[in-house]
Amino acid sequence: MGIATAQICSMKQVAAMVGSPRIVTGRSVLHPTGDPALAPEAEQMLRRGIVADAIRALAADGIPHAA
Amino acid sequence: MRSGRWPPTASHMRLEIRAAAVNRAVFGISTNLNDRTLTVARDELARLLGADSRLTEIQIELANPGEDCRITGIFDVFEPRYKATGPNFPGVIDRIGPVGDGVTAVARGAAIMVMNALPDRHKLTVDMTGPAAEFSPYSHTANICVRAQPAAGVERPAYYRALKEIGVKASGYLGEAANRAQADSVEVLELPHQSDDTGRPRVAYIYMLASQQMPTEADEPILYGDNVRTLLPTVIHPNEILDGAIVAPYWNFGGDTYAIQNHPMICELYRRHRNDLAFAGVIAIIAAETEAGRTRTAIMAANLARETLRADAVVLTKYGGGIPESAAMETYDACEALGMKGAMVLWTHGGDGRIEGSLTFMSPRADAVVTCGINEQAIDLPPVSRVIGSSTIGPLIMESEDDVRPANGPLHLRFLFLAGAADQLGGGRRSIEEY
Amino acid sequence: MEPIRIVHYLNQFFGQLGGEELAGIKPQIKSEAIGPGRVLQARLGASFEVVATAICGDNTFADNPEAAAEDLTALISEFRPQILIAGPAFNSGRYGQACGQLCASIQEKLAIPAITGMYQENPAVDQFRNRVLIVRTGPTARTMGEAIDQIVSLVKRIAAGDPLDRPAELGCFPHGMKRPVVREQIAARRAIDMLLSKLTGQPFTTEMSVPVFDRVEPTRLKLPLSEATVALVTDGGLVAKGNPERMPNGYTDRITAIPIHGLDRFTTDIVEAHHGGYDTQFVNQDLNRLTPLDAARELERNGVIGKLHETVYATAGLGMSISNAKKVGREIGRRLLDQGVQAVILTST
Repeated sequence: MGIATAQICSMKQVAAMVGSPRIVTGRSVLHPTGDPALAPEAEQMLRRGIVADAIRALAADGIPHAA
Repeated sequence: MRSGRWPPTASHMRLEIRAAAVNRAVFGISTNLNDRTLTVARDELARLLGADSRLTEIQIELANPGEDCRITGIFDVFEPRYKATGPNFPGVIDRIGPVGDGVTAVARGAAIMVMNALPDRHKLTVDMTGPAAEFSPYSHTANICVRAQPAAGVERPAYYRALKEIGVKASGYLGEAANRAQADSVEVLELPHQSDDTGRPRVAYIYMLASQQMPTEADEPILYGDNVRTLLPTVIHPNEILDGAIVAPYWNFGGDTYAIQNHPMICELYRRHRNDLAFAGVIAIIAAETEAGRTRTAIMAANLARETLRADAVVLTKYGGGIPESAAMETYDACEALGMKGAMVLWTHGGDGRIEGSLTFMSPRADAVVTCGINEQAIDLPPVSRVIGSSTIGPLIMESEDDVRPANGPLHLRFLFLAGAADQLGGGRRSIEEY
Repeated sequence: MEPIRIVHYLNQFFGQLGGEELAGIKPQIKSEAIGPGRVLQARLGASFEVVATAICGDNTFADNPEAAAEDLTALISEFRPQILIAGPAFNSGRYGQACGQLCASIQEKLAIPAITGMYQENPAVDQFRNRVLIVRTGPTARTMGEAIDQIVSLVKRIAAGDPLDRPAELGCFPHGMKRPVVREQIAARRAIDMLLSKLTGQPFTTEMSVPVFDRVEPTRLKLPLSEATVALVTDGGLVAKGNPERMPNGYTDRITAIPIHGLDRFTTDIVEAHHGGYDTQFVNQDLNRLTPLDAARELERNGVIGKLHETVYATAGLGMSISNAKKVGREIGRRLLDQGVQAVILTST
């Protein structure tokens, strides 16, 4: 029994080192699921895309990362 | 190449540092340096620093080694220096011009402490005597402490910029006294362009100047006045770094400007140059806040080290907190992947004392790591009779809102906040032992 | 001089009570050396005396380690030992667990040295080496002779008052811990020395070894996402406006629980980011940049996910120790499991 997780982060090596099974690249450590430099609509698209990546990852088997 | 020489005169950068020793600082009628005593004309210096509409209430105090005295709220530290042949800290007040060449006068043994009057969770403290003296270089310098309040309506970034400017002004003003004094030592720093260093390994230094986890302000002067917001790896001569090209970021997290002017890693590489190694040069990098930025930095820095500086090995230091650990590790990996040997200096997180919590990220290939100590480790300092600066200390990073202590009382202080004691540039003797 | 008093701990098998069928026997103690204890006594010589042997069944211990350790500690204290020796347990998991737990308990309660011996692959090594001196042994009792020699040598060093703070030099597993020291040379010089040694193939010792982490087997989603309850979690310091739960902005073992019922997106009057490790100004303009509530609600409306869980859990992942991270992770995981959540999207800064 467990919970399937997907991690959205910018420091991907850190997540891999500690064995995070599903890693999705976040935009920045300062704003993982957004970007203040984008226009509001573009930012919304970006966020939808990142979250969609996380959803796809959740549907897949996780990878036990080797550090 | 065709015959004919260019440039016609000097063949390479050559910095002559003329140091006049200072044992103590006193106030007096006119500023000068005689007999190892730096006399400071308090009013004149205050007028010079006060000619700035962003600042009010300039206060200048002195603290000498051995005094029962604590300096609190330190924002940055500068060494007094004067450069007759070029700009002092180009791009801060002076025009942007070349540094690293020519003659620079130094009042060695004196330091200017610029204090921050605004609340900030990262402010530094030093005691002039007691247990702090084992760990802080500034317990041993004659300190000229400068405090100024922001004028009404002046926001934090503008105030911080003004604080850097008064540090630079005071450095030049007091350095000028060293320029008039007899030098006690003369040091020549140069890397002649000859290739008779065969047989010695070429070592490049990859120097992380700043971390963008706390993005630098638009007009924050770091590298020749630039805020290094998007700095790509850049080859820079070590003399430029020692001679004022770099000012510490506002978020002074493990290396103030004084430490940069006396950069421990660069001085060590110079000391060993043409002895057991050949100093191949310095590459300046930042820790970027995006993964793409960090990868770009790692690849470009490694390529510059091997292809441009022809390095056999690299040594790295980082600046800031956790993200820079990732950035430094990635750069180290990129260098090793190109066949260069790497070593680096990082601080250690204490966590629960276990080895696996020492760093945010550690590459499995990072087999040569030197630590500059546990950043949360604390030192107990006894009460003092005199305080220069704010009357309370805290809350600092890692502390709760109500963690405010009287500045003159006994102090349990993390080394991170003892000025000069958490030196990420490699100047300290603190370390860890795994057992 | 009085001999140094030693109590020895064994399981039912080495205590010569019986095999697996007696793994359920209760803690007991006998005022003599038994089995490997006799070899110990012979090799330790007359300066030491094995005054008693405590015995417990492996299953009894494994079923309730705290209670077994407490009972055994009470029995052992009667004999006023100066040193406890447990095992060696070699590669036996339950026995290793018992030896480790008992040593930890005896050290704490009786304030005397307590040592054991195990094979490197015994899971109890990783569990107890941070606080117990564990002598390296071979995998099975066939190596008993060498193991006892190692233990005897360590006991003699303890009795001689030798420093015990470098376990690796005592033939033991290192604690895997670190402590501050002050070295002769500045860090810059040490780094260049290390680099030159590395370049010329000379031996050198890194000051920070590469960490090894526990591996967690990934969980597969057992039902389609369109039927799953998905929760949002973040380590980026999300708190309710004004931080009423008073979560520190780092170095914490605390979490926040933020209700999102009826919210389509985060707004700045409801939540904020409270974290000391990164500049929070951008996420504090729009908290969906930290926790993508708006995008997750769209997925819920479109039926891509079954349901969005109505609580967002958060912590501030700055300077967080491994043990605190485990604690925080377990706490959030336990609550989410209790609340029927099958999947998590975690955002990290």
